[in-house]
Amino acid sequence: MRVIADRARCTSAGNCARVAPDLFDQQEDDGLVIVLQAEVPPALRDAAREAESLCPANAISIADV
Amino acid sequence: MAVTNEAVTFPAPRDKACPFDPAAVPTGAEGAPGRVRIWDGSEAWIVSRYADARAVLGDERFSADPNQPGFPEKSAAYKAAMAERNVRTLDNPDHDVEKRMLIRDFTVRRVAQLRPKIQDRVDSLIAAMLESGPPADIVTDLAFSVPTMVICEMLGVPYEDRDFFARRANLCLNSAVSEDVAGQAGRELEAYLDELIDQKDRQPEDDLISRLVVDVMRSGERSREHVIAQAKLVLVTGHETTANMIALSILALLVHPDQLDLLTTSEDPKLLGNAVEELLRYINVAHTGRRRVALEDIDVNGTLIHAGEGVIVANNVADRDESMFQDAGRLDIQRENARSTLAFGYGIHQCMGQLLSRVELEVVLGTLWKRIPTLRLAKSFEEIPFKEDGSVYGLHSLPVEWGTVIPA
Repeated sequence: MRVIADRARCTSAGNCARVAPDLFDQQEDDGLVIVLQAEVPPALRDAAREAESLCPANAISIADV
Repeated sequence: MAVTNEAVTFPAPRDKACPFDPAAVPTGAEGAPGRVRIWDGSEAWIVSRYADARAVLGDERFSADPNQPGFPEKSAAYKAAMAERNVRTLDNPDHDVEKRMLIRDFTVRRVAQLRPKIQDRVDSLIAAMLESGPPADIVTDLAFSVPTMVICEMLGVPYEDRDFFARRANLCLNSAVSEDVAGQAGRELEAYLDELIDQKDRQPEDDLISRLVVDVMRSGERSREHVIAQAKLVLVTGHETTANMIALSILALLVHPDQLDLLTTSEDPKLLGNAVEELLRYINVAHTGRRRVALEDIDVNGTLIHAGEGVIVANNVADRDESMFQDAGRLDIQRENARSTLAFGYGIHQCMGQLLSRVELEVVLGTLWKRIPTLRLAKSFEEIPFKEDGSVYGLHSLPVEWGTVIPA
């Protein structure tokens, strides 16, 4: 499983960094999403799915590979 | 719910016997958007299914700009006090540009840095309650002081001025006052911020207003009026919302003793966070809906909404949608999908202070019963005065008392 973040859609809400802090962070000056690890370890799959579903701007997608 | 073509008035009063439940709203077939009439006599769509609510709020073809024709404004007072250009009212691309100037004070990391200060404040407020009570009023002694302190800290507004701006912030969000009173309160806040901006310009500090002054006002990138509008929005919206959510959460737990017991005895470190999500879902203080107007003809899961038609998303009703939340009328702090709440909205206009608000709630609820395990209502539940006339649902007061307290 991989996570992909679309910065052009990101609205700096920070939900991803809140529910999946091992996968996502925010840039300090504008809050935009930073992907910390694109490859999702099995233990973080639920967190990744939750980040995808909570993102208010649909900026996060998941690819099952 | 009955299918109806006749537009009923929105918002309708709640059933006094069930003060935590939103008033029912009209729907089309199978819960599809219905029609309501609002204060100015105009009609709007009302959206109450969870999926429809997300579809509308996540679709930028629905504008949040109150100056667009057909926009279903909350009240004359709200229009007078709150309609200026700021992150709340701007559509994209302007919205994101403005939001990025403010967001650094609302990121996960920044909010985590504020947590110890919030904890200190909550500790001292509870200590003061214990010293002077019982009884105490949760609304004035605790619920309002927490967000007020946080807002002062973030914006760089002197805490001594809290009574001045809290009063005016309240009037800006109060649909029961006249257009003139709300407009006047808004202008007084603007004049206050105008003076504060002069101070920050002379002597910038580590706060949001100083940053706006230094980064965008001095360079001429943004006008002084614009900086005032942005600061005013944060000042007004950060207040009543969190304060009333704190008071209503405490009340909800006091009248659901099984849930309170679970919360205070559980060893699961994640339960407190989940309880906050569930309380947000169950209570939903922003109870007059998110307002939008369609910029083009849009199909919302089978309902065609025409360009220029107003839409009210009843996020509080959507958060009780049984197809999304099983047994939705029940407060269940272990609910697995409580985090899907629409209490903060959805889409680009999702509440900017949501992370901050969650931390304030977590700190209050995580501390209060540790310090006062015997906390109870000082009046019967039926006597608690709910505040229904503002755009934020709340309590006028929450009288409590307690028995013996273990020293800190």
